[in-house]
Amino acid sequence: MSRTSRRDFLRGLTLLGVGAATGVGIVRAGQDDTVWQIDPMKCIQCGRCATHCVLAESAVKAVHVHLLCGHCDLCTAFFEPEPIDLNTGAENQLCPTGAIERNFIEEPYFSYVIDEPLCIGCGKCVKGCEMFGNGSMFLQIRHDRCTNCNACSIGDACPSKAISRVPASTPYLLKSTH
Amino acid sequence: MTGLRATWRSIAAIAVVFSFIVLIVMLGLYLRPTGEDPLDSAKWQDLKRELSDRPADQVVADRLRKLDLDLRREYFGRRETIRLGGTLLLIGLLIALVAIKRSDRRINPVVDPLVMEFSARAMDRKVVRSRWAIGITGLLLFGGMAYLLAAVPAEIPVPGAAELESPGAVDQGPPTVEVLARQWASFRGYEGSGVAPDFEVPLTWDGAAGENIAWKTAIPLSGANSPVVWNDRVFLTGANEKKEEVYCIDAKTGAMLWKKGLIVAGRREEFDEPMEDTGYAAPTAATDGRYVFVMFASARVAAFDFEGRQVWLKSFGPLDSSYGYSSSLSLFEDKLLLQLDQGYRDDPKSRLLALDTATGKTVWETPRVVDSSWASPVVVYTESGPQVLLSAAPIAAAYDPETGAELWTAEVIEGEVAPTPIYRDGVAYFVQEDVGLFAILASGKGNVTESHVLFSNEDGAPDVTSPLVDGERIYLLATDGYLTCIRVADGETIWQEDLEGNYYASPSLVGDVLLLTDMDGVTRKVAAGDGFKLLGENALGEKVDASAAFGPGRIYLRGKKHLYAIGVK
Repeated sequence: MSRTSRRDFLRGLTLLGVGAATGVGIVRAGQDDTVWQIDPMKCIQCGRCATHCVLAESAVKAVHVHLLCGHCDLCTAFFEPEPIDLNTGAENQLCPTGAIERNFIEEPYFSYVIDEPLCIGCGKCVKGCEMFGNGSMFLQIRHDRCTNCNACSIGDACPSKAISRVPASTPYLLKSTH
Repeated sequence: MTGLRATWRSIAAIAVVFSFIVLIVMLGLYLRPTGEDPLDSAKWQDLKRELSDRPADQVVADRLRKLDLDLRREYFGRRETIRLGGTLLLIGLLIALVAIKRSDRRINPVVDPLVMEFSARAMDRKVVRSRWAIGITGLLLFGGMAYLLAAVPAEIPVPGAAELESPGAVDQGPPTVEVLARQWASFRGYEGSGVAPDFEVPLTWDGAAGENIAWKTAIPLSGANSPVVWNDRVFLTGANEKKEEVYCIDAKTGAMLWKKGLIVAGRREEFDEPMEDTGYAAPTAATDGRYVFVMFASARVAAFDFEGRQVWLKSFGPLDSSYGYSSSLSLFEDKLLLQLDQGYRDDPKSRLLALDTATGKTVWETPRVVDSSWASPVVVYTESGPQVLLSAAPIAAAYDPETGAELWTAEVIEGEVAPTPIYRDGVAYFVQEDVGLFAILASGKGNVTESHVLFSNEDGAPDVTSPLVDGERIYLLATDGYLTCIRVADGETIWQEDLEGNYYASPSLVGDVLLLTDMDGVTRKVAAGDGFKLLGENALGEKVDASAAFGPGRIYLRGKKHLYAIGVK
C-alpha cells in the first residue's frame, strides 16, 4: 500500500478546493439574479421573521417610509395600545428592544426613526402601524445581512407566503406614496 | 529545535483547550432562542400590570424602567457575546492548526543510517500525533458545524389555519338571521322595526321610586344613541368635543364591564361642531356578537371585540352634515353598512359603504346622488332577498347588501330626512315631514315611482322619530306629540291623538302595547289598535332622547346621564 506524499495530498486538497469553489460558484450564479424579499402587502406580522432566520440576528428589519408617515403624536407603532402616557417611558413603548427613536418636530408632530442594529424584525411596530396608522412601517429582508440561502427558512415558516424571490436588480419591495 | 517544537505543542494544546471552552460557552448561549422578546419576562409583565393599576405610582414606573434597561442590556450583551465568541473560536482554531503544524515540522533530513532508523521511528510517532491533532481539530470543527446544522430545524411545521387568523378574529361566522331576530343588535332591533321580541318585560315602572328598576348605571359621556344588546351585554357610546368612548355594561348587574376611548392615531381631524340636540355620539352602535361597531359625529368608525380591545378604526370625516352626523350603523353578515349621505345632490358626495367587519376594509362602495340625510340604513329580508333601505332626498332606495347594487328607487322624498324606513310583509315604508308617508312594494326593479308606490299619506308625518308598523297599522309620532295611526290596507288615517310631551325617541311595540317615551322621560303606553287608548304612564325621572332597547326580561332606557334596566332585579 503506497503512502500518499505531502505533495500529492496538497495537490488533492487544492483540486478539491477548486472543485468545491467552482460548484458553489455555479450554484450561486443561478441564484444571483434573484434574492429573497417580503411583500409588505402580504405580510401579517406573525413575528416569525425574528425567530426563524438561520442567522443569530435576523436579516429582517423594519423599515419606515417617512413620506407615508402621519408623524402622529399617538403613534400606534411606537406606543403600545392604551399607553399610560404619551412619552418615551419604557412602560409605554411597544418595541421590545427600544429600536424606534421618537423625536419632536412641531406640535403635534413627531418623527419616528428605526435604529436598525437594535431591530430584531419582530414586526410589532408594523402591526401597530398597519392597524391604526398609515402603514408606513413594514418589514424587509436586508441584503447586507441576508445570506440568500437556497431555501429561506423564514419563507418556509411564513403563514401568509409573503416571502418570495425578487430580481436582484430591485431587491426591495418598498411602499410608496403613489 | 526540540525545545521550539515543544513550545509549539504547548501553544497548540492551549489553543485547542481555549477553542473547546469557547465552543462550550457558545453552545450554552445558543441554547436560548435568539429571537426571544426581552420583554417576555414574567417579572416585567407583573410590573407592567402593577403600573397599569396604579399609573401615577412613580416608584413602580422607575422599577419597571430599570428592569427594562437591564433586560435589554442582557439581551444585546448575549448577542454581542455570541458574535465575539465566533471570532474567538475562529482565531483559536487557526492558532491551533498553525501550532500543530509547526510542532510537527522536520528541520533537517539526517543521512546517518542509525539516525535514519531512529528518525523513521520518530516519524511514525509524529505521524500518529499529527493524525490525532488533525482528528481533534476536525472533531471540533465538524462538531461545531453539526451543532449549527442541528440548530436549524430540518422540517419547519406548516402553520394550521387557526394560526392564520387575523388578530382579534374569532372562528364563528356572522350570526344567522334567526339569531339576529332574537337580539337587539342595532338601532331599533331586528330590521329596525322597533318591535320587541316576545320577551317577558314589565310594562310598569317608576324611576324615582325604583319600582321595576333592575339597575341604573351612570354613563360618563352623553350621547343621543340608543343601547344595543347582545345576550348579557349592553353597548352604548358617549362623546364630547375631546373624547369618544364606548361602554360595555353587564345586562344582569349593570356593572360597567369596560369603558374604552377610541385610539386615534395622529392628529384628530377637525369637524364642524354638531347641533346640541344631535351631539357628538348620535349614531347607534351595532354588534354581531363578536364585535361591537361604533361611529361618532367625527365620522370615525371603530370595531371593538367583546373584551374591549379596539380591533380597527377608520375615519371618513369630516362629513358635510349641517346638524351633525347621526346615521346609525347596520350589519349584513360580515359587512358593516354606513350611510354616508352628506352635502347636496348638485355636488354629490354621498355614498353607501360596506366595510369588512373583521378588518374595516371597504368591501364595496356605492355613490348616491342625494342630499344629506340623518336617517339610518336598515337591512330587511324580503322574499326576493335581503335589501338595505335608505331614505334621503330625492329618493327612497333599496340596495343589495351583498354587492351594493341599486335595486330600486322611488322619487318621493324631499327636504331633510331623519326617520329611518321600516318594512313589513313585502312593503317598505318611508316617511318625511314635508311629503308624508309612502308605502312602496319592495319587489320592484329600477325606478318604481310610478309602478310600486301603494299609497301615500301626509297626516302627522314626524321630522325625527321613525315609524312603526304592527302588521295592520302604521304609527307615526311627531316631535310635538301628535300620534297618527294609518291603515296598512288602504293608507287611510284611522285616528290621531295629541299626546303630552315632546318626542325624539322612536316608538316601540311590546306585544300589543306601544311605548312612547317623551323627552322628560315619561313613557306613555298606548294600545295598538283601531282606536286610541292610553293605558298609562311611567316616569323615569330623567330626560330621554334615545329609543328603547330590549333583552330577555329587560327594557333599556337611556337617560341623559344614566342607563336604566327596567325589569326584575
